[in-house]
Amino acid sequence: MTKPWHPGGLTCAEADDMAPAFVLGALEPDETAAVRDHLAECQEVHAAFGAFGGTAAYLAELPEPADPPAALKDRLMAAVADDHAAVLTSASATAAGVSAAATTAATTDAAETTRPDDAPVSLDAERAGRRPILRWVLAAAAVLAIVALLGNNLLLQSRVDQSEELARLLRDAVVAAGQPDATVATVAGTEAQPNAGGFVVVPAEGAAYLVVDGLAALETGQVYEAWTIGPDEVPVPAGTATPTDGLVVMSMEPDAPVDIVALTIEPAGGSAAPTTPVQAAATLGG
Amino acid sequence: MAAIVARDPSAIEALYERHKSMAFGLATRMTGDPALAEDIVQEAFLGVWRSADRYVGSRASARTWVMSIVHHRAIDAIRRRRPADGLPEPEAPTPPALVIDDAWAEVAGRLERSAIASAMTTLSEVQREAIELAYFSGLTQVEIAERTGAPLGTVKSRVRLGLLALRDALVEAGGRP
Repeated sequence: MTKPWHPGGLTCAEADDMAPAFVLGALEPDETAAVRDHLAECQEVHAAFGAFGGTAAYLAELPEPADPPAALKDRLMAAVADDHAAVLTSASATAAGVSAAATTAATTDAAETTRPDDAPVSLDAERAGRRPILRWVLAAAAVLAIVALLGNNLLLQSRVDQSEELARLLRDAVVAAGQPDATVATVAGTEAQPNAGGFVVVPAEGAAYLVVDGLAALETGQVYEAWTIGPDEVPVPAGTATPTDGLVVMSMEPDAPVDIVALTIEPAGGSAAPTTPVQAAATLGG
Repeated sequence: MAAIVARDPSAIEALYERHKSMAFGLATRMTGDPALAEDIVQEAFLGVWRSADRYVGSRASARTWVMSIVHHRAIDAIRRRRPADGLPEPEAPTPPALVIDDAWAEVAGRLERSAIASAMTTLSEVQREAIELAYFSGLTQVEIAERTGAPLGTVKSRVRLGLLALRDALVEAGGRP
């Protein structure tokens, strides 16, 4: 008789018995690996881990807080900058490759509204803050994303042709990106949707636009919902849309400063607050 | 966290400023070595920067997630000081089931440190010892049994019953564990 298969080699009861030690980090390495495998593969809900984990989280509050040396922040930010530069270089190379292949197919609107190379995006000096060079690099990456998206015109056009509304919104988004005081940022897909990408445009006046391509199709009764997040870190609903062959173009009218724009999947009609993980996001301020 | 996912370095800087004291305090308490604690905190926040997209899919508060990474790396550092030991996956994210249900804000039911310390006093001495040796000293249950001379089964019971008692005391104090 064949022994029944259990995720991680553990029954659910065995895994739950190990929950207290697991959340404290007190299992042997092979036991820890077995529990991780079980949780990753098991379809059952293991409430014990949430309950014990929530309790254990409070233990982190017990030690006396202590300020680390100021130099630690410098080292951390230097490491982050190195990491960020490597990612940007890789992303820019990819976007440039796509745009180079399709530049001649770019729309007339894009050609008329794309800024000169020496001023890809007009950055508000106040919002540029302490890292104007970094913000310029981010803005340049945003323009590359726009060029890549619009440059991929043959694919895009067939979808845009399906909807006059989509075409109008996309045209308005590109025009808005050309406004003198517009803030433009790249939209990056999260691990949930690594193929998603696009850009967000927030002009000084008028509607803002979110353009995201490469999105997964939705199940019936679902929509993509955009959220704007300001300094108070509270997500504010900014509209819903269903994708056309993975493309979503939305106009938004935020009534407060926007630092972050995020996209989640919500029930049809939208939600008052996000109920699912972020699928794609862009940062504009901070 | 969404800003970190969107690769904004100023967002990780803000997150560091908000949680650095707690993170450094925990790492120092666990290792007893401020220099090693600095390395742990730096690696933990760099890990947050590199894997924030994993956080977005979880249900933790940012604070809980950051501190779980600091704790995880501190245990790893403690065990590296002992031969032939260590956690199997230093980069592994905390499974969503292990953290508090609060995706977009900090923990709503947070308690003052004194209230949590007070809750710890409701545990029996042996329960508190087992939990502190596990969480702060990075000992496994087997090592706790060797250290205290108690049977392994007894140590497991002390850990489980201690956490249950702590949970009850935290709820009593108004927490939301």
